[in-house]
Amino acid sequence: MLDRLRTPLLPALVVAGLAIAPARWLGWTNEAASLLWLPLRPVAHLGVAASSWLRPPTPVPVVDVAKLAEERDELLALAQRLRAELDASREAIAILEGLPRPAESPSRPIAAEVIAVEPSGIVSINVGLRHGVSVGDPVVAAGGRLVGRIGDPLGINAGVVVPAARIGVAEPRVRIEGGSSGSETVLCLLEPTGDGWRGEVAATRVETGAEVRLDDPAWPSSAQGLLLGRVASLRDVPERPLRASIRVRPAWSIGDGRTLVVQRSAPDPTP
Amino acid sequence: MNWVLYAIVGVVLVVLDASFMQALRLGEVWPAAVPGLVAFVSLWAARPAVPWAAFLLGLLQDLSDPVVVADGEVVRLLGPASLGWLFGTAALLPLRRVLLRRHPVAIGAATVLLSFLAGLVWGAIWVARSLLHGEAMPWPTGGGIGAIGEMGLDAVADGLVAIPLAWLLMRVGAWWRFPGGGWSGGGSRGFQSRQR
Repeated sequence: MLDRLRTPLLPALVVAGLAIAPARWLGWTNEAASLLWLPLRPVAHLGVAASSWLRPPTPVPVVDVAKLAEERDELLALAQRLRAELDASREAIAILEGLPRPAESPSRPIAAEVIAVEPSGIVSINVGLRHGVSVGDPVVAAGGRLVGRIGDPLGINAGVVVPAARIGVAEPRVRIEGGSSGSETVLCLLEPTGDGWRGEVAATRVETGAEVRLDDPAWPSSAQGLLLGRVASLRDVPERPLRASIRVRPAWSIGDGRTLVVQRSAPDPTP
Repeated sequence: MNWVLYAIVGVVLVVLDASFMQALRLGEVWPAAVPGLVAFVSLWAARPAVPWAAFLLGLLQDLSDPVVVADGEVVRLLGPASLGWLFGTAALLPLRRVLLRRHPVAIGAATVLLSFLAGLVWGAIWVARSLLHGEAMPWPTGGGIGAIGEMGLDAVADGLVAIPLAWLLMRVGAWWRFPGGGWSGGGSRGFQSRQR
């Protein structure tokens, strides 16, 4: 019968119209396909089985929850470490920005972390000879506060900082600013007492709270002008009426932060 | 033409295409067996029967191929295969006298042409749908040339599958009851040339 009809022109036109019809007009095709495929499904299942036998599907990787949890913990630890390093870098930048910059300062600062504090007040840090640190290099904290000097022995990867208040052999000469006459500078020799310093100045020229800054040629130039402490108390000296005994409290204490900066004086180690 | 045999073989091949042929895919090239049958019939059946055979089997193919249209809705889009094969057979009919249609490779070559032309119709339908309804076309934006290249590769794959299929269909050539062509006997003896 179909042979007598030359071409399926009319059905083809209908199908052409449906081919470009909106999607909402084509919903019935799913039902038609379902009906059509109902008796064909068993054959199709055989075909799929044969296809899977001939070409096995790529195995889906099994999700290992324990491994994922381990990776998560490692990433969290890494994130924590990076966050700590970021904080340390920020602190180091803050310290460096607060430092006085002598024109001829040959120092090369390097950030260091406090890794231990001895009962004697000696501080261990995580930089040493390998990082170009030398014995005697000044160590600074945020706000341009002098912490102390690198002491002996100095390790390859670690060093110790002798707090400035405990350097007994030296008698740092200091400049006291902010006295009764404003920014007047008073030179004074301070004697370490273990928890600070003691010295004598002209009684009329210094007030409590005045800043005490290092001005001692025995220290490297990069340490000059750093804040040593503040005048904590003034006391008259009976035998010398025009003089006053002062006590200076260190500007830095162990609870002020874990990040320090070492002002290296030695050249960079050869790589 | 033996329409019952055509319907049985056509349905089997449509199911085969939907279920088994994925095993023969090479990357994105996914061969199909039905175009080989349509090309075989196009070269041998009576001329008035050819467009109907292609169109009806194309409808079955269209109903077996779910596509995603607007808003992610899944439908069976009528037209790509039914109109595509109708268009393809219209191009094949004038070539019947030129092609050595008794050779399976000639059927394979005819299948390549049929599939490629059907692919162009498929592309034209999707371009029209995109223009009319703003639907996303089933190839990347600006990837029209690549889509035509893929059509060409698919057509070649269809042609390769059609060669053994044509050989099989010719083995039972007499069963098809095609007019002329030297078909005789039937069963496993299949095709015999007119000269014998």
